[in-house]
Amino acid sequence: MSGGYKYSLHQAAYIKLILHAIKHPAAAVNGLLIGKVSSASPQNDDAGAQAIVAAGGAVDIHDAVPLFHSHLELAPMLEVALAQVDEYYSSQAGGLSIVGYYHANERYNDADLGSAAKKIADKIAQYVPQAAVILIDNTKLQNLRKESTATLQLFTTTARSSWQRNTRLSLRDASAGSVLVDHVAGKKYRSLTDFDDHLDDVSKDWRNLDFFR
Amino acid sequence: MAIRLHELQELDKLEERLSPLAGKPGGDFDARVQCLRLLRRMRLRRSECVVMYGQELVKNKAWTRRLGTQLWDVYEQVALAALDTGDLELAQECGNAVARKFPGSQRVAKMAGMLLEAQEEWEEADRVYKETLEETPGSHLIHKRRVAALKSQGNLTGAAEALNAYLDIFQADAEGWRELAEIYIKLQQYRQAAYCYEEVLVSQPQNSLIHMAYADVLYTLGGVDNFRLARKYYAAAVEISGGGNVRALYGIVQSAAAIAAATKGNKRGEPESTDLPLLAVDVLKKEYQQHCPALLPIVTRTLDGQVALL
Repeated sequence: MSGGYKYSLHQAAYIKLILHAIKHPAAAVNGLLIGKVSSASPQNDDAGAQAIVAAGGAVDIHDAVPLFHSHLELAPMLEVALAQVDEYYSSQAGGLSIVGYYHANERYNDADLGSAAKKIADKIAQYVPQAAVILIDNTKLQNLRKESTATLQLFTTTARSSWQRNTRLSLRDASAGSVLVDHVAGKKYRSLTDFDDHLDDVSKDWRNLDFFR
Repeated sequence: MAIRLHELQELDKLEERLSPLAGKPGGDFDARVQCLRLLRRMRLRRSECVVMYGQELVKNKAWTRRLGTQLWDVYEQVALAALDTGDLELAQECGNAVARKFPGSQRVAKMAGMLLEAQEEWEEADRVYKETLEETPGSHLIHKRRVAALKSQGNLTGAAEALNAYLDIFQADAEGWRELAEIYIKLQQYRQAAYCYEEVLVSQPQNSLIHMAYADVLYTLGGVDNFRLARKYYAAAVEISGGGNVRALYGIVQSAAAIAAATKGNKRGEPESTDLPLLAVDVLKKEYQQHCPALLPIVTRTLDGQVALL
């Protein structure tokens, strides 16, 4: 169902998800992708990929909410997080909602989307069939390139096969790469708060509202 | 063993005294020896420091004689540090020296295995560990190293098997059970993980983290009985930690809602008491009111949604 969609990653989302992985180099991390799905002709959704390409279907990923850096395989706190993130965006103007999931594996050279990640992704895809799943490539984090999404691998799901690699991911903002490099150099990731941090200390806000200020 | 402040201060002084000697041959035997001895005693892993000041000690023939019986500890210390810093040649050299003196010792076997690991000879390394364990099944050191090696290769199934073999012998090692639980969680083998946490709880009945981890696993397993048990252990975690344990409070609400959803329309049995989840909701709202009022509206709406299910 997502075969023809284009996936565009905005700077804020790109920077947050990479900094989340950099903040916890020895752990698996995950989080949610926030944005909008636009299909010009939603009534033709089942008419096959060609029709959707013609209609210009797109998933715009505006932001990311970092969730966990421990026990990613356990359900209860994930359910709490999903409910709160969903509630927050549905109460906001702007029409943003959860459109995907990101994940970085624990082991440095593990480039597979594991079954725990797929399980969470499946849950999101129940509500958003075009959901984006982004796997962060740990090996590329050491040497961040300014202009590319090479650190990220997009997976999408179709009616026929689940979570296949998809090359239609691009960065919306040309500046994203160099801003990221600046943030890494300035150790900006230290002030990034995920839902795990929030559960340990409620005064830390997982929305990271002041992060770019 | 606790780190003593005066030892740390002494160490700082020694490092200051030694720093002009970094990378140079000769000079200040006593400070080098004392620095390494302190690092061993305090179990500090300052591998660069050990290599920097230790490699002269093991390379200088006159000095190796002066070290006397300490020599073998220094060799081992420098070998392990050299593995950390990636100086395999130095590690090999020191390892060989100890191996010649103490053939067949467990510490030598561990070092040999670690050298193979550093060269990514995983199967060879595992063979060394397994052979050592056949001869001395009770070797704590080798069991633990074997588990760590399998984990670092991402072989979690193998690591779980190795840790199980270890726990067959060292049944009272709570940390071992906890480590095994974590591996099973990563493998998503929740039933086995739950069993391991039960073992940990036997020896650590007052550890709220274990209560919570056990409850998280039970909840993830699902089913009314597990949800009920999860709720009980979340409640115990709240009690042990004196009330304001946010994760456990959420856990109580989640499991109560899950029980309600699973027993909906079920007329048999007594109705579930809602006292506990309602109390947890109250405490959570107060926590947010006090520490993060900006999130209170979101939290209130999601919690009220859960309460509506009860």
